[in-house]
Amino acid sequence: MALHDIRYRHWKGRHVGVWQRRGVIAFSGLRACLQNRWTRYLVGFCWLTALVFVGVLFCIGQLLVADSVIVVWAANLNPQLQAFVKALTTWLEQHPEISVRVAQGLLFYVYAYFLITPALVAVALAIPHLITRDLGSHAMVVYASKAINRFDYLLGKAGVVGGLLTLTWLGPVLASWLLGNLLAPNWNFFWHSRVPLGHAVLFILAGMAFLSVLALGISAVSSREKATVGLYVALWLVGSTLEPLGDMSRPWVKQLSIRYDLHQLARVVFRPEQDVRIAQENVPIVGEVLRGFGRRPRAPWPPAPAARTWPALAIFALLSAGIILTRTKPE
Amino acid sequence: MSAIVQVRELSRWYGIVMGLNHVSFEIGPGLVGLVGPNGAGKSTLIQIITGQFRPSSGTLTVFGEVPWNNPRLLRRIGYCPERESLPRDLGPVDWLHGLGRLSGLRGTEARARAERLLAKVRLPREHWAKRLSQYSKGMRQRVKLAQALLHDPEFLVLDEPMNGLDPLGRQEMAHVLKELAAGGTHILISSHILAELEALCREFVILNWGRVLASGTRDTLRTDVQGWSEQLQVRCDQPEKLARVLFDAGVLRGFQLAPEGDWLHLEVRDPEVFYQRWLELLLASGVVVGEIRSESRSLRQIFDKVTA
Amino acid sequence: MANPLLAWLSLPDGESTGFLHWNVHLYVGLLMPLYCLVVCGAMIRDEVQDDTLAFLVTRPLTRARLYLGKYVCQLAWLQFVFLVNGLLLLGVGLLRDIPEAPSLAGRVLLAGVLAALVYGALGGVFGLLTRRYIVLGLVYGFIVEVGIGHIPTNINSLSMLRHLQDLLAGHPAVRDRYEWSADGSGTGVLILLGTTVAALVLGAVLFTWREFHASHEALK
Repeated sequence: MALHDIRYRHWKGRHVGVWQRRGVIAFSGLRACLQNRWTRYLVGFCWLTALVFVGVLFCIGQLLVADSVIVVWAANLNPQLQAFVKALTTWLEQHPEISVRVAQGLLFYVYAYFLITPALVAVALAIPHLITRDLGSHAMVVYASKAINRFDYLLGKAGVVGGLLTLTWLGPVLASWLLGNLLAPNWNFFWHSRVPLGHAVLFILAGMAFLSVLALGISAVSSREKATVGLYVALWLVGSTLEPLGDMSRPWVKQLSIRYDLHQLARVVFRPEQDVRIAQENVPIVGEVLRGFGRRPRAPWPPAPAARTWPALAIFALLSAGIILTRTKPE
Repeated sequence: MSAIVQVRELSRWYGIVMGLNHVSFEIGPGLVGLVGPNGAGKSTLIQIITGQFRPSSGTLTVFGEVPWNNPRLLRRIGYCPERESLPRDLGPVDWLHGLGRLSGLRGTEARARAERLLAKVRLPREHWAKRLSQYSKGMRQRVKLAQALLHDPEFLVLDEPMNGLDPLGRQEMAHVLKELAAGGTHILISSHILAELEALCREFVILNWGRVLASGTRDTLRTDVQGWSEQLQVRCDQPEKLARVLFDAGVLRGFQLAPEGDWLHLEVRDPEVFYQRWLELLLASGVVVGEIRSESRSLRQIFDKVTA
Repeated sequence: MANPLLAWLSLPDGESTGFLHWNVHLYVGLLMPLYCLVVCGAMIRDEVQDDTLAFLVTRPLTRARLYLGKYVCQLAWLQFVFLVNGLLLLGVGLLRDIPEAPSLAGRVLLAGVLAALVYGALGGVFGLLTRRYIVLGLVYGFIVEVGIGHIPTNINSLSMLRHLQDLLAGHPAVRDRYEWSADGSGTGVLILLGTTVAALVLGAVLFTWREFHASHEALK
C-alpha cells in the first residue's frame, strides 16, 4: 500500500479505570522518591523508631500488670516499695479502661508528634518529584495528551505525598500499635487502646491531607527544584523562628509555623491534658503526684487553641490550592 | 602553515568510561570536519580544545599552548557548544553584550559588535527584542554562533552547529562559515550531517569509541584506508556480460547484479589499474553503458568503511 | 519585601522586645544567611545546571577572575536587597513607635553589609562543592552557627553569627535584652572580613581546578 492511513485512530484495546491511572502516577512518583537514598534512610529511620516505640509499649504494658517480670524485679529492689507497687499495679490491672487508655493516649500523642519531623523532611525530599520537575521538563503537555484530566493528575501527585507519609508516619504508628498490643500482657489492651489509635489515625490523616496540599502548592511555585525546596525549607525555618515571637507580639504570628500548627492539631485531636486529668483524678498515689504539677505557677497543659489552628491550616491549604490551580492550568 | 591543534597520546576518562583513548593526531589550518557517531569522543575532544576539561593523560596544545585556564589562548579561540541551553531571561543583544565585556571589549564596542554579528548570522532584527527562552532551535544556533565570533577568534570550534536548522538555515550557516574561512579563520566543525560537512571541509578527523580512526583530506583517507576498494554502479544493457569481461580481466574484487536487471554493482580491486583498462575492456565487451555512478568518494562511504 | 511587611503586621505599637527579636534573630540570624546561601550558592551551580557555564569559561579570562566577578555581581544584589530591607525595617520601627529603631538601624545595616560579604563567600564555596548546597548550608548552619556558636568552647569564633551578634550588642537594648557582650566586636569584624577573604580564595582555587559536568547535575 503506497499511502498509509495516518488519521487519528481510537484505541480499540481494553481501557483501565481512572483510579488505576491515578495510581500509576502515584506509584511512579513514589518509586522516583525512593530512588533517593536519603529518602530510603529516612523511611528506615522511621521504622526503627517504631521498633523502639514497640519496646516502650511493651515495658509500659508490663508495668500495668501486677505479676509481670518488670514489676516483680522493680519491687524486689526495695522491700518498702513492694507494697506500693503491688497496690498500684493491682489497681491499674483492675482499671484497664483508664490505665491503658491514658498511658497509650499520651504515648501515641508523643510518638505521632515526634514523627512530624521526619515526615516534614520526607516531604522536602519529595517536593521536586511532585510538580516542579513536570513544569521544568514540560511533562504537563505529555500528561495533558493522556486520558487523565488535571484533577486525576493532582490526585495522583497527592498520592505520592500520601504514600511517602504512610511509609514515614502512618505506617510506623499503626505497626507499633499492632505489635505493641500483641506484646501486651492481655488481649483487652487492643480494646482499651482503641481511642488512642483513633486519635492517632485521625491526627495523622488530617496532617497528611494538609501536608499533601501544602507540598503540591510549594512544588508548583516554580519549575526550579532549588526554588521550591528552598521555599519549603525557608517556610519551615522562618516559621520556627517566628514561633517564640508570638509571645512578644501578636499571637497569630505563631500560626505561621507549620510545625506549631501541626503540634496544635495534635493537641486538639489527642487532648493530652484530658488524659492527664483522668490520671490525676483516678490513679491512686500517682494522681497525687500529677496533681502537684497543677499547683505550679504555670500550668503545663493549657488548652490547645483550636479556634486559631483550624483557620491557620485552612489558609495555608487554600493558598496552596490557589497556586496549584494557577500553575497547572492546561495551556 | 603548521598544525593548529596537536594531540599527543591523549586520554580522557570519566570514572571508568573512556572518552578518548590514547590518541595522537594533528588538526591543520582551514576548515576541518570532526566526524563520528554518538559517543565517539567528539565533544570530549572539543571540550579539551576549548579549555573546559583537562586531559587525564597525554597532551593537547592549540597554537602550541595548553588551553586550560589560559586566557591568552582563549582570546584566539571561539566556541559554539552543541547544547541548546541559553540564559532564559536575557535578550540576544544583552547576552552578547555581557559576553563581549567578559571578552575584554568596551561597552559600546561590545554592543555594536553584538548587533553586527546578529546581522551577520542572519538573525532577523524583529526577533532581537525577544528573550532567548522564546527562540526556536534554529535561532538559538545563530545566536550561539554569534557569541563564538564576538572576540574575533582565529580558531573557531563548532560542535554540531547545523542541528535544528532548516535546509535554508543550513545553507546560510555554510555560507557564513565559508566566508569566515575565506577571511583566514580556522574552523573545526563537528557534525552528524556528513553531506554538508563534506561540502564544507577540506580535511577530516574520524573518531569512534574514543579512538581516531582516520584523519587527513578525503583523497588521503581514501588512499590510506586499508583494504579500500573503489565501488561503481553501472547501468547498461547487458550487465552479466560486462561483469564477466571485467572479472575475467582480473580487475574486480567482486560484483553484484541488481534485481531490477540493468544495474551492475562493481567492487574494484585496484582503482589505478581499473581505470587504465576500463575503456579498453568496455569496448571489447560491446556493452552499451547508460550511466555510471561512483559512491567511493563520498564521506559517508569513507566513514562507513572506517567505522565498520 | 515580605519581611518588613510581616514585621509591620505582626508587631504591636511600642513593642520593643518583639522588634529586637525580629531584627536580631529572624532577620540577621536567619533570613540574611539563608538568602546569601541561596543567591551565592547558585552563582556557579546554576550555570552548571542550566548548562551555560561553557559560554563563560571559554571567555579569555582566568577562572579565578570569572569567579570573583560573579561574586561581586551577586554581592551588589545582596547589598541592595539588605539596604532596602534594613531601611524598610527602620520604617516599620518608626511607624510602630519603637524607640530603639533609629539607633538600631545603623548596626543592622552594617550587619547586612558584613553578612552579605561573609555568607555570600561561604555560599559560593558550598555551591562549588555540591549541587545540594542548600542542604550543605543548612548542615553548616546547624552545626557551626547554632551548635558550636552557642556552646562555650575554644572554637566558637568559627560561628560568623556570633560576630554579627557582637556587632549588634554594641546597641544597649540588644546588650541588655540578650546579655551579650560587645567587647569583641572589633575583632569580630576582622574575623568576618578574614573569613570572607579565605572563602573567596578557596572558592577561586576550587573553581580553577575543578571541572564541572552538566550531565552529572541531574538531581535524583
